[in-house]
Amino acid sequence: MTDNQNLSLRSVITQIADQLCDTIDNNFDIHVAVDTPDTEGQKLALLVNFLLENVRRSLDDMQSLNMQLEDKVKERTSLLDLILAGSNDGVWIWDIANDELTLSGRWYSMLELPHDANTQSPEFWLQQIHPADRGRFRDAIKRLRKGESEHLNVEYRVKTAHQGYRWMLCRGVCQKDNNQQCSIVAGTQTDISAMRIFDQESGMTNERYLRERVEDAITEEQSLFLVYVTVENIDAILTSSEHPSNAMLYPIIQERLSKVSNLHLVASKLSAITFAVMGFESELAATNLTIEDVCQQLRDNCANTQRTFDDEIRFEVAVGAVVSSMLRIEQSQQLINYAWSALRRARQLGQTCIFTEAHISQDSRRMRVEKELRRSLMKNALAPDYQAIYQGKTKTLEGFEALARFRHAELGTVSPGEFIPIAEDAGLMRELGYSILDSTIATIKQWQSGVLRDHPFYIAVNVSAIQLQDPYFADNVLAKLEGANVSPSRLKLEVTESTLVESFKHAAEQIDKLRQQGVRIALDDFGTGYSSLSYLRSLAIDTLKIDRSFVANLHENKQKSAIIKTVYELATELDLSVVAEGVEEAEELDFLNSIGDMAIQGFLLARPLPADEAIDQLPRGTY
Amino acid sequence: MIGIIQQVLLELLDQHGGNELKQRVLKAANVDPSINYRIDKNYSDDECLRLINAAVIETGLSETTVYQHYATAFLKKAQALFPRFFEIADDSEGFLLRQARIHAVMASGLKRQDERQHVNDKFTATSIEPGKVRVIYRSANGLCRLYQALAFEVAALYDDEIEFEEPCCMHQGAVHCEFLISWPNKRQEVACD
Ligand code: HEM
Repeated sequence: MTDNQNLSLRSVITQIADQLCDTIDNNFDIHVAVDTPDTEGQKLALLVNFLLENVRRSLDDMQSLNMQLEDKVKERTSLLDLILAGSNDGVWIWDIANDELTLSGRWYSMLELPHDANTQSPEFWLQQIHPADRGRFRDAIKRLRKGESEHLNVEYRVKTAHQGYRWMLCRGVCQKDNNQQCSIVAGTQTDISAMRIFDQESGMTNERYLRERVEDAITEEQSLFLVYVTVENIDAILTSSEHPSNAMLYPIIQERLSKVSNLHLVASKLSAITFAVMGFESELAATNLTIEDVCQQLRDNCANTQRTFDDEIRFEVAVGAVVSSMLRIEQSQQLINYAWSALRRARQLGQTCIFTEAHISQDSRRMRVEKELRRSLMKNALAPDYQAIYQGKTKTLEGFEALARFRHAELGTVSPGEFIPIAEDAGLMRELGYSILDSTIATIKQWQSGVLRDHPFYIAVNVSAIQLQDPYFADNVLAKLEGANVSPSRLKLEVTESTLVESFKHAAEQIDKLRQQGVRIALDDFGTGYSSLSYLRSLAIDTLKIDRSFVANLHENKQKSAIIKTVYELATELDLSVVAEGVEEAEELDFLNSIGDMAIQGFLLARPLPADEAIDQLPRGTY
Repeated sequence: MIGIIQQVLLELLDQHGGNELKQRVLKAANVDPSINYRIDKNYSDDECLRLINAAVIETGLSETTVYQHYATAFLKKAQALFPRFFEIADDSEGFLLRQARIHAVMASGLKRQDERQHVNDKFTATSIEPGKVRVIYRSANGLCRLYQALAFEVAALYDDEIEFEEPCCMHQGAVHCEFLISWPNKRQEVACD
C-alpha cells in the first residue's frame, strides 16, 4: 500500500468515525459518506451504512412493537374502563410497599366525595367505613395478606358525604412479589345498598333497611315512631279477588301504607303479611297528627273506608305502634321488640295498640311465663286438669275433658287465657299438645286398671291447628296409645272450627286416619264459627259440643233454646252424640234434659281438677 | 444502478480492448469519458443499459458472450471485495439464496431511502426445498440473461452443477421473471436418504 493510499484510508476512517459520533444522541438516522475514490474505503462506508440501517430497522421494529403494545394496553384499558363503567364499580389499588392507595373517580363519587387526590393513605379508606364494620374489614385484609384467603370479599358500610351510610361489597386480590409476599392488593367496590335493603318479591324496603334506619335514628337521637301492620284476611282476599298472588297485592299495600296526610312514611315488608311503617315524630308535630291518628288513617287506608283508592280490596289489619319518645329506648332492638309486642296485642285484642311503659312490665311477665312454660314442658311438669262429663238424665259418667293447666311455684296458677297465646306465639303449641296427650294417655292407663276398671269412659283432649298439620300426627297418637296399651276408643280428640280452617285437607286426613282406628272426634265450640254446618257434611265426627255461649241462661232465652233444639235434632239425625258445655245452673240442666239425651259438662256437675282429685270426687253411683 | 456494475464492465473492456475500447463504449453510450464509478453511489439505470448495449455493439460479441465474460469478471471482483460473502455460503445454493440480501447490503451505501428500496425490490430468493431455489426478478431493466450468466458462474465457482429454468419472463410479457434453479446432484442425495 502506498503512502497516499494509507493517507486516503486514514481520512476515510476519520470521516466515518466522526460521522458515527452523532449516534451518541441515539441518532442512528445518519448516512455515512466518504469522498475517497478508494473502493475499500467505499466498501467500509457501505457496510457501516448497512449496520446503521439495521440498527434503524431494529429501532423502528421496537418502536412499532411498542406502539402496538401501547395500543393493546390502551384498547384493554378502555375495555376495562368500559366494563367498570358498566358495572358502576369503584376501583382501588393499594400499593402495600409504599402504603399508598389509588382510588378511581367512581370510588370517590360513590361516597359523594370530590376526587381531589391522586393517592391516599389506607387510613383514609378506613375512616370512611362505619366504625362497627372496621374490624371485619381489617380482618378480611389481614387474611388476604397472610394468604389465608385467596380473594377479598367483605361487606361494609361507608359514610357518604351527606352523613348517610351506604352498603358496599369490596372484592379484591393480592399480587405477590418474588418472596410470595403480598405487594399490591387491588379490586373493586360495589354499591350493594339497593340489593341489601329491598325485598326482591315486593320491591319494598326490607326488615334490614328498617333496622338500619331505626338504628341511625336512635344513634342520632331522633325521635321516631313505628307502626306494625298485619293483614289478617290475606287468604280470603287471595281466594276471592282477581289478585291471585301476594306479589300483586304488595304495590297496593305499599301505596296504602305510605299515604298518610303529608307524612313521609317508608313502608317495609317484614313478612308475607306483616309490614312496618316508619316516620319521625317531628313530622307528626308539624302536621298536627297524633300517633293514634296515623294508626287510624292506616287502618282506614287498608280497609279503603274513605274510598281513597280505586280498587275494591279491603284489607283487614291489626295495627300496633310504638313512639320512641314515649319510652326509654337505648337500643334500636328494644323499639323493634316493642313494635312487635304492640302488634301482638293488637291482634289479640282486635284493636289498635300503642305501646306504653305499662306494656313493658306486662311483656316482662309474658317473657317470664314463656320461659317457665318452656322449662316445664322440658321437664314434663305440665299436668292437665280433668273435668268430668255426665249423661244429663242418668248422671252416669261418660268421660272427661283434659284441660291444660300451668301451675308454677312462683308464678302461681297461670290461666290458659294467658299462657295459651304465649305458647302460640312462642311456637310451643305442638309440644304443649303432645304433653297433654301424654299425660292423658298415662291417666287413662292408670284409671282403666283402677277405679274405672269396669266403666267405659273416655278422656277428651283439645287438638291445635298446628298439630293437625303435622302429617304424622295420627301415627304419633296411635303409636302412643299402642305403647301405653290404651284402646283408641278411650281417647276423644276435640277439634274446633278455627283449627280446621287453616288447612282443612290435611286436618281431615289426620282425623279420618284416627277415626278409622277408633279414636273419637268431637267438634268443639259448635255454633261459634261461620261454617259449622259445612264441616258436619265433610268431616267424619262423632260428637258435637255445643258452645257454652248457647248454654248460659238458655232457659230464659228463646233464641238460644231454639238453636240448641235445632242442633240437637240435627245431631240425632246425623247419628252424632251431643255434649253441652258450660252448664252451671240447675235450670240449664233441666232444660237441656227436656230437649233430649245429651252429655253435660260444667261447674254444676264437676269442676276441672287434677287427676287424683277428679277421681276421688266422682260421686258414687255415677260409674 | 449502483456503480459496481458499470465499474466492472469498464474494467473488463479496458482489460480486453484497452482504454480505446473503453472510451468508444463510453462515447457510444454517451457517458462522461472521465467517469469513475463508485460502489457506494447510484447512477441511472438507463446509463447502465446504454453501456451494456454499447459494449455488445463495440466488441462485436453476442450478448450472451458479453454476459459470460462479464459474469466471470464481476464475480472475481466481488470475491476480491467481499470474500466473506463467499465464505459464509457453503455452496452455490447458499450463495444464490443470499444474493438478494447481498444486494441489500450494497443498497445501504445509497443515501436515499427510495433508492435503497428500488434496489431491494428487484430480487426475492426463496428455497422451495433443499436443492431448489425460486428467484423472482422484477426490474424494468430486464437483465434476466445477466442473472442467468451470473448464476452459472457462481455454480462453477463452487464446483456445483445447476439446472436453470425461467418459467416466466418479462420479455414474454410476464409481470416479472421467475427463475427456478435446481441442484440435481443434491436432490439425488436427498432422494437416496
Ligand atoms: C457479492 C456478490 C454480488 C454483489 C456485491 C452484487 C452487487 C450488485 C449491485 C450493487 C447491483 C446494482 C443494483 C442496483 O443498483 O439495482 C447488482 C445488480 C445485479 N446483480 Fe448483483 N451482486 C452480486 C451477486 C450477484 C449474483 C450472484 C447475481 C446472479 C446470480 C447477481 C445478479 C444481478 C443482476 C441481474 C443485477 C441487475 C439488476 C437490475 O438492475 O435489474 N448479482 N448487483
